[in-house]
Amino acid sequence: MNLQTAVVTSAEGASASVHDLLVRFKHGDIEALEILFARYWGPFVFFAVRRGVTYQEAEDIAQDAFDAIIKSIASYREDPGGGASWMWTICRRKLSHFFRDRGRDAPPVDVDVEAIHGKDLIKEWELWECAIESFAALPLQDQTSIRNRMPGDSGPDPHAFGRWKTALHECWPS
Amino acid sequence: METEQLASPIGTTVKPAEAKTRLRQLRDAAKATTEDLGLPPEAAPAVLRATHGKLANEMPPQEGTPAGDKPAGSAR
Repeated sequence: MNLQTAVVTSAEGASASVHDLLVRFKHGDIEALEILFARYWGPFVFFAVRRGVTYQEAEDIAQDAFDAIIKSIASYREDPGGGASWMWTICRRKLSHFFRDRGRDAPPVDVDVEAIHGKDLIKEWELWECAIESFAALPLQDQTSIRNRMPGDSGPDPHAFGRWKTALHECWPS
Repeated sequence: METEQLASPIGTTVKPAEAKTRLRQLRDAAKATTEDLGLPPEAAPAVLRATHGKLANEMPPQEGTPAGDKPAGSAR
């Protein structure tokens, strides 16, 4: 499976549409932006990595893309609205600028990424699935505790994080 | 332009600087959580997707909580 396709399919499978979230953010809902970031930070990073940049560079490109989304949200058209296509256009533009600024040619967008990285791709995809599914399987109280925990501490429920860690590593043992 | 506000048709605004700061906080928290989970740094996007990729009303209701209500103490 093409990683970009796989990850985007996962993102689109959630019940709130990208278009709805963009409109909500446009009207001042910061939570909608957070959800978009949670769903598309990874796809943007992987998209860039698969086109030959380092992971750190890909993180910077993804961050630049979200900075541009924030800057451009006022011009987002609510009808008909581009949704995910609008976001991917911004991401591709930032990647193109990255290569242009370094005097390099950007690789073709429709490259078969699976043919390039093979096992690494599958490994990352399995981890992606394990993280999401193991968290979703937790009781809501555990999810809330983990979401509210500060880095380095155990959160409101000291056992909740441990339960997620155990479930995640059972799913993804490496 | 960090202090510029983005106007919307209904008059609400989002401060770009505030939005960017919030995303960086989310990213840094996801990285720290990833490390606490014993996962490689490249797993941070998956961790963030798992913990913050859904609206509060898309989560399954807990016992005694009507569907769609935010649980007590939830930051979202």
